[in-house]
Amino acid sequence: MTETTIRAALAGAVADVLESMFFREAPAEIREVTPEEDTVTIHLKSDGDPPGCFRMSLAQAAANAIAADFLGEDAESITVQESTDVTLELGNMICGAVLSRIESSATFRLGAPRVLTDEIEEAAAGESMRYTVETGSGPMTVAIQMETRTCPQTEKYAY
Amino acid sequence: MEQIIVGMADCKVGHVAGQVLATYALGSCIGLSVYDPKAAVGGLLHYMLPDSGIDPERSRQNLYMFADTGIPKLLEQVCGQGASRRRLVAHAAGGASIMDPQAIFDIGKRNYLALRKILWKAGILLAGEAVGGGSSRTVRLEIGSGRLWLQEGGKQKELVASFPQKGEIRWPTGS
Amino acid sequence: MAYRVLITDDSPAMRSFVRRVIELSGFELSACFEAGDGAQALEVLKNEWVDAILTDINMPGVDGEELLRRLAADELLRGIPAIVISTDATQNRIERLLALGARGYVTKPFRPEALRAELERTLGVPCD
Repeated sequence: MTETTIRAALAGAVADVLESMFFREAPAEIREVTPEEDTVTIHLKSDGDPPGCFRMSLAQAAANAIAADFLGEDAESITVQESTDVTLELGNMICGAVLSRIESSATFRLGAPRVLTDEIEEAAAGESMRYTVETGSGPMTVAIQMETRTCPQTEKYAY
Repeated sequence: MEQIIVGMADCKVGHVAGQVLATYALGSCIGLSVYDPKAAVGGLLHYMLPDSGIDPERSRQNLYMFADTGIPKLLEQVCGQGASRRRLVAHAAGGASIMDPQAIFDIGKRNYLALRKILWKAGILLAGEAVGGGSSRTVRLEIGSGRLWLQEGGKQKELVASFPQKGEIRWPTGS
Repeated sequence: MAYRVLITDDSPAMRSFVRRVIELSGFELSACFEAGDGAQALEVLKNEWVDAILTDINMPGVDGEELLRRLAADELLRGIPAIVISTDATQNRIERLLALGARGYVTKPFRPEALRAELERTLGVPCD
């Protein structure tokens, strides 16, 4: 599995998900990101061949706008809970779409997505493939870290 | 048969049986047809760009130029003539890449996504569509029957056969 | 005809989306039940009859595969058509779930019109 393959999978998954269910055009990749203060980050683990971790960060304003598109509502009327719920599902779908592209012949299982807070330990340091886009409402970064067979397995996610 | 031409950045509504709303040269533009078969009221919008935010002054002069101002206005107008939003049957045509074959600006696709977003928010799913590609299209909507024709690449086809006319009873097959 | 449906997904946002698609598709709903996992779905089905079940697969606790197995094992419940809505687009998974009795399969992400088409096909009716 090459870096090019994974990057293409990330790009394709993001475009596919945002176009189908959020009615947003495939966003352009951006290389330099100005750190946003108010962001939401979600994390989930996958149990496939190989297993891995997925993370998605986006500006809160982008999360609210994207949630509004998904629910067919005005952004002003989106509640915090609705924004969080949609963001979790967005991450779930992008991760699933990435893995379906990478692991097309294997079965994978996704753990439940969760919002990362300061209290939750950061995922083990390691190389992850990152891909950042401008959604039109703020930047969104997706990252995937796949285990290689020479590395020790991470702990199974209990769900 | 009264033919009513819908120009670029234009919209017409019909409520008289026999009227035919027609729009031509749908390239990157989108032609949105909506029809209420019970009220026998329909409308056809031909818009050019997705978002009025890029030129608010222009949208004030002609709100049919943009998806986000034109589509709500179309729905308001057909409902004003007695259509019910819940009963509307919607079709879209256009969104092609004619002047932009490598889709660098991708206006056609952006127009199409804007359409889907606005219809989703308005609570309407598309019943059919003929979008993308590189051909120009023509759409005709007949009021009364609800018949819808699409012309593309020199060929015409009927997208929607007629709905039952007011007062007409259609027996289920086999009865 | 008014339909009774059960939507099973651990995501409240996805349950809302699916419900909206069903309503906008022209199906008249006399009841729409929601469940956050397979166990909740089975609990609903103890007391309520439904015409269709739409279920996710990756859910905590009793997941969608196990739900399909338990439906297939029940003489009454096995007759209810189930449509799977899942992020897993791999051929292995699709074939396995169809073999477990799923009547339809929609891969996330999906266009609302695609779910409508699958509903019409599975229920055997055009909805307009």
